[in-house]
Amino acid sequence: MRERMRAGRLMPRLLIPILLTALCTPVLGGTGQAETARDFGVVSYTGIDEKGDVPRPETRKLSGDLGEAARRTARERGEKSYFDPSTAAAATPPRTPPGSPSGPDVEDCLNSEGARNKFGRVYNRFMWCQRYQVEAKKFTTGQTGTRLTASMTMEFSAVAYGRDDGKRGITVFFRGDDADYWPTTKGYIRPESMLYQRVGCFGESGCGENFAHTGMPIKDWIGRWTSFELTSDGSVSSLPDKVSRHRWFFHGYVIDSWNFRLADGSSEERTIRCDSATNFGLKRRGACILDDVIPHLQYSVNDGKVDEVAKHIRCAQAEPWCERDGVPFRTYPRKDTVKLIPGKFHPDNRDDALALHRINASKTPDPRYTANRNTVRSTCATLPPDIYDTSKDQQCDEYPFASTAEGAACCAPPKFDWDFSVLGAHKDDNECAGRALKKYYRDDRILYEQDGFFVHIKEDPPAGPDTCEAIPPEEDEPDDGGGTPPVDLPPTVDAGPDVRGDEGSPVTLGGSASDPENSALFLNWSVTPGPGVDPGAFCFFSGSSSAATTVTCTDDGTFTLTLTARDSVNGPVSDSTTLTLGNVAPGFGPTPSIRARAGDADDDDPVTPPDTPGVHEPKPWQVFRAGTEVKLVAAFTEPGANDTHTCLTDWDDGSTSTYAGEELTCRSAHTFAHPGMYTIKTKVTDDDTGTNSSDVMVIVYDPDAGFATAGGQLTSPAGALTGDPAATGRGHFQFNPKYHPHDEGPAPRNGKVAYRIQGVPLNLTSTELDWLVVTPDDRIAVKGASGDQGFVLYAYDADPDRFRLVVWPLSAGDHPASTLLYDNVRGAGYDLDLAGPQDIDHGSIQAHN
Amino acid sequence: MAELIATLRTVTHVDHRSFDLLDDGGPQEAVREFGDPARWLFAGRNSVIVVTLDGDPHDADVSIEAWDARPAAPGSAERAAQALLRLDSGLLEVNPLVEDEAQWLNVGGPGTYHLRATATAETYLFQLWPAPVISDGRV
Repeated sequence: MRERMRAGRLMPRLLIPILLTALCTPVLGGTGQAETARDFGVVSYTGIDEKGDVPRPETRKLSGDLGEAARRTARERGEKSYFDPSTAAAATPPRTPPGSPSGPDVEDCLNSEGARNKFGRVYNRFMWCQRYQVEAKKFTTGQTGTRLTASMTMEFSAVAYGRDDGKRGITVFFRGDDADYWPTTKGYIRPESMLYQRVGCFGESGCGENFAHTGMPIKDWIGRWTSFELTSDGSVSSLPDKVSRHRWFFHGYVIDSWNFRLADGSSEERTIRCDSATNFGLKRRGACILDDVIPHLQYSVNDGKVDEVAKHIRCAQAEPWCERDGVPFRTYPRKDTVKLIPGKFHPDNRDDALALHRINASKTPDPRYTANRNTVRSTCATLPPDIYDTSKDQQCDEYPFASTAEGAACCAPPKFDWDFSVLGAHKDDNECAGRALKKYYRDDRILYEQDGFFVHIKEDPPAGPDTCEAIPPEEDEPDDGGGTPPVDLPPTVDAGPDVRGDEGSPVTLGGSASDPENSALFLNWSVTPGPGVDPGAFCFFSGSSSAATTVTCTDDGTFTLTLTARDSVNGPVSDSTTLTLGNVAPGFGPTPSIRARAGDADDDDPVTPPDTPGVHEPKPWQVFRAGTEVKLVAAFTEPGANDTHTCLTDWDDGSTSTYAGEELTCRSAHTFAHPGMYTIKTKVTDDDTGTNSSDVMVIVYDPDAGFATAGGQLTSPAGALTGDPAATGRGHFQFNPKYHPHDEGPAPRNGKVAYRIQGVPLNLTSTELDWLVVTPDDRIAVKGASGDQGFVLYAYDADPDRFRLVVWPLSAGDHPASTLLYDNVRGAGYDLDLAGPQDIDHGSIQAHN
Repeated sequence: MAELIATLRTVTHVDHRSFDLLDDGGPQEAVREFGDPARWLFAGRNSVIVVTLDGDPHDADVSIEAWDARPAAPGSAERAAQALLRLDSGLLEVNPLVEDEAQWLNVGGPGTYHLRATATAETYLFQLWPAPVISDGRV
């Protein structure tokens, strides 16, 4: 198990089929008689077929430049992003991920059809959402093919938030909505089985991911948001604005209720682009946006605030001609050939070659901006009055915008010489549209040069008020502003004192966090295993978003637990504490083996390994014929799910078997060559040296091994007779059990057993015989009944001969236990080798073999 | 007597006949109303919109002064306006929607400020000083 788990973490994620193969394990081990059936399992966010194969995420096939791959994905997925400047706030404050997803945009996104697929939906450059499913399936494969043995399908919602508050990172939220189990909730995969998930990333260097999974019982993922964070280190980027692109994905696995790990699965991947651009404001010099989406600015020809500009752009984008005031119109400056003007937004046909690219238009501008302005100015001076008339409060509007590389002066070879258009527009429209463009650049995080964007001219009626800015002052404020501003102080956090406990058991944490403004806090526990912790160990919290919670780890060792608190304004604040856990040995009872309801088995329970500890096969005193296989199934408890186990079975005939414990069970098999009574002892040891053992005695008979005859006397000691402990007397025994030729057994067809004690009310004559054991070393055991009494007779053909008789009421069981009627060697074992028979006084015992 | 706490003098590029002073510490809610052509200063929470005289893109000289109390009025100016301004961080940036690395001034932390703006041609002076808060939260 340990090797599989380690392999699952380190192996490249592209090698899922190989990993599946590596996961196959024999049902039986250590005996050389392993069956071909093997178990394997897998978790997937993209589907699992009936053979257990998982389709490779399509987005993983993307290659080459990550930015181009993101744009291609956006085009293929039809993802579009915009912030409508006519409905957005005058300038949106820096965006910080919330404590949990909420609001109309989240609902709108999650309820949209676009969210219900394996890719999810990029709602805009700052939000992605998905409503899909994660599956876990366990299979058994063998000579008859592959058979599904258990499955779980969880419907989930997920939301990812970008940010532009100076921090390079995203926050991803996951919430289970519902889960179905097959064949029932009592199979291998149960609501109590563990689901571990994290958000990983790869791509350009600098992506910070938490390799620790968040683990919870499957049922605990339901109905609560769990968050994951990725960060991006801009210092390693050599690109302008320290741009880095990373691809992120969900990654998860399941450990079923028998500590069997189903192979890891990953979701489709989405791209984030992180930058440290300085041209968006002091507090925004770090951001990550969702990159596989088409950014575009929107104007409406029916928005009175910008309609003249919108109509101009629509006309320019409609070259060679458009309709203006009901008549065909061609834009200025006129050209003998058809103009080629870029930037038109095509909802389903993104062509990056037609995108606009922002350039520096500040006080120290890109020379192209100055050139664009000069070209516009000189061109506008030539326009006729019906096109541009300053006496009508018009300004000369240009498209493409002067603040783009594709502006009026664009471009000298070898770049393409785009055309442009100028037209008079009322100054209020032009100034309002200009403000909208500046807001759009910031709201959609349009970088200089690196972001292609488009302009979408709509006909929708305006959604905002008539003023150029959409959001009026708060009504309860003075018209000219005022009021007491909020001063939001960062939260405080305390991870609590160091704590100790045992692996696999919840340990209570005394963390706390508070916020001076009593704002809602987002809390998150994370775990860092210490250097001595076995690979593969994980911890999970009963509430990873609660300061006071419990933590449970799958292995012993020392762990650092960190509690991080974040409000919606300030950066995260963290504190750490140390958790020290001791090893707990595996056991054979009485604690239930698995995290599930105990003792409520129904007839429709699926076939699973035993879910109660102890030796399930063979049964005590079970009878086998020599030369036939004896199967051993011994279930054990193990609170440390990361522990691996070695089983050692001593078959009591001089041979042992050493093998790996799987599914919390020691499974083996053995064939006894000779008749006897064998106490099979199984010891399980975990990888941290904790150990426990359990044994079971079986009977092996052989109809061809001989028979026994005896007659004699011995002194029955005081204490032998339960009904009269003081009684003593001379005991007389006779027996001659024998198998006939071709008897299959186990009951010998011939012979009797008789025993009486002179002067004592014990007079036993067999009415039936169950089995006869005659060992190669002349030891004899016979089990039978005399009416409502059972008996086991032990005899040694030795010097002197020895005899023991154990009698018990059959009402107490079919083999002797603690309730006895007679035993002339009280306290001795019931195994023939340990029976310690009493020396006889007279007569003889003969083993005929 | 009022004391000058901090000052910033810079140049900014003006396009579409306006520029902004913005505090990015919270929502920015100034509203430009086109219906009143005589009004050139619009102030709201974390935001000041300045409408300039020249409709063509140009550079403007901008000065911001942070005072601990009402300062003496500057000399004669072509235009003057006053407003109350609520700032959530107190870091006031000059035209960050346009400038590559916008200049900024900490005017004294979060709070409500009196704003006095004067302009002559394309030279602008903004003077801010704290507005005392009375018990009901209004200034």
